[in-house]
Amino acid sequence: MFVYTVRRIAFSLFVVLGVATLVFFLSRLSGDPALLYLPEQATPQQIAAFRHQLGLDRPLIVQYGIYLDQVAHFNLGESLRHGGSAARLVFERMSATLELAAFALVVSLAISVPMGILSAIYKDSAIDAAARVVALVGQCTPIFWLGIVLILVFSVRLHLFPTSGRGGIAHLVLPGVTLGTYSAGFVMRILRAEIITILGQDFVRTAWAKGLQSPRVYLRHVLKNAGIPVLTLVGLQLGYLLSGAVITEFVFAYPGMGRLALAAILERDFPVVQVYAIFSGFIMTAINLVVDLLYAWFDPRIRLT
Amino acid sequence: MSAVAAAPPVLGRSRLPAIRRNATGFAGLVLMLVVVVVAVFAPFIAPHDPIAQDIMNRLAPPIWIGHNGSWILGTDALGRDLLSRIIWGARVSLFIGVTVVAISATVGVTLGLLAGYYGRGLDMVLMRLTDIQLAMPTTVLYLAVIAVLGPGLRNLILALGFTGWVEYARLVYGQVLATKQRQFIEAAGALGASDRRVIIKHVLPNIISSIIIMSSLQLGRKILEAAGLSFLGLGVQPPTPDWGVMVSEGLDSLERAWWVSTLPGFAILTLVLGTNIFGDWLRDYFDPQTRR
Repeated sequence: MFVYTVRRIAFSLFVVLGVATLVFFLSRLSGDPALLYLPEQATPQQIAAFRHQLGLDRPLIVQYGIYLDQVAHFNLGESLRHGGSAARLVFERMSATLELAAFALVVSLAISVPMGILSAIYKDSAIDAAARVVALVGQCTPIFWLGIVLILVFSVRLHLFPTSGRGGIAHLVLPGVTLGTYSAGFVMRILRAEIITILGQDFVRTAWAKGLQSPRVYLRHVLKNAGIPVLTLVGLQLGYLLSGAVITEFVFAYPGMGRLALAAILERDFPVVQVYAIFSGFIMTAINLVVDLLYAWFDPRIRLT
Repeated sequence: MSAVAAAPPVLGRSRLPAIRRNATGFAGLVLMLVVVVVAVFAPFIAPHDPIAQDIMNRLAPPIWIGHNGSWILGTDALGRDLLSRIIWGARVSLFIGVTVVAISATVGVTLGLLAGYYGRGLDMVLMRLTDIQLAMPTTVLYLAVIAVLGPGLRNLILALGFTGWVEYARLVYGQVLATKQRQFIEAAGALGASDRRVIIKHVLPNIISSIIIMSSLQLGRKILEAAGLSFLGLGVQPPTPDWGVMVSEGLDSLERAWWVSTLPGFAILTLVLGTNIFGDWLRDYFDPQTRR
């Protein structure tokens, strides 16, 4: 376990470095990165001074070194629009996004786990067919459109939930359901396939043959084994949820970091977008690291490969 | 020779009609074809000009709610015919989807083939690159690319196309490694075939079915992602009739005219459902293990 943990942490550090590098080279794609970091009305003198300050007149490899130093100190420039540290601006919005993503994950699992289990146990029945159709449609529905339909039905018509903003649980319901539905279909399909595979295995047949009652077989033998892959999926889902959060936050005017980044793009505030991209990569890498370590803890087979 | 009989069938003319025997797969194909036909014949089907404004008839309701005009699905805030815009929008969505998949597949398959066939460190570099890219949530990556390049149709296609190669590269890399072990590859090499010939004539035909399945499943996903980015104002720009743009244009009049935002969404759902059902069918068909 120790060797595995060390190896896995080293790999995560490598990925974090890679994410920072990717963003660095992206910012060089536009030709002159100085223009990305300065307001549009900057004078040529200001641009020249800024290029010198950032070291843009020095070799690329030196620029890269300076950049990595800044990333390590979370010193990623100032917001052109709001002034002040871009990193702090994004960081302040991060908790809102993580709250939304966590709520959506709960919604997603609350829908997908019972559906996946029933669908697998009653394979090829009407329940299975219905669950699979729901999962497929859920995966194919544009997330922004689902949000709008939910607003129309539950806010405009029924006045049950607020249409926008952040507050108590009531503000989280519609965005959470919108974002959760997006990943529920995916989790349900994987869980179903996983349970069907396990149901066909020898130890399950033995459990039945021993005369165990069905709740015991399903809970102790089947679900315990199907739970492990679902844990990994939860890590993967976070990437989907952070992606979907941008659109969900926009539709529901929810003050998270995705909406901040979106506004930053339209206002040409690159430092903020840069911090957002790096932070998102970091969060995802960290969660995946935790999930992988938990996975190895639960299932000794993983550690040895 | 049961091993040979169990091998996945190779795509061929005689095999394709098999889809007619699978109702679900056939339904997916039909949904997809309907959208393709609509896109191709848009100028003949659309009853109105998709960008002609008619301020006198703003937000006219669909025909089943009742009005005297000739707008079957009603009009938007600028008095443009929704049905015509949805019909023309099929072209935009399909164009984006197909172009993006073509770029991703070309880049990814080429890199995957080279890395899998030659190895020599290239495979290490490539797989670590894919690890890094997969650590970024996709939309975050698109936002970063578009922040640098600027919004617009061309940059949307570039952002989606040059981030989609990763999945192809991983798939092809794995498959090439497995295929390379097989004896007919060794035999081709022993007979003096050049690397280029072995890759194109012997390796590629054996993995082409996986690439086709991946492409059909990716098509729907990329169309969905493109619509989302256009909805956010980062992709296709108005007045081009794009489904994502149309949904966002209806937001301002959501409470008075629900149809402007919701109807284009059905078009997206239809096309994406079609490509996904068809892709699932293709996968099941080529993989006998999941076939019932």
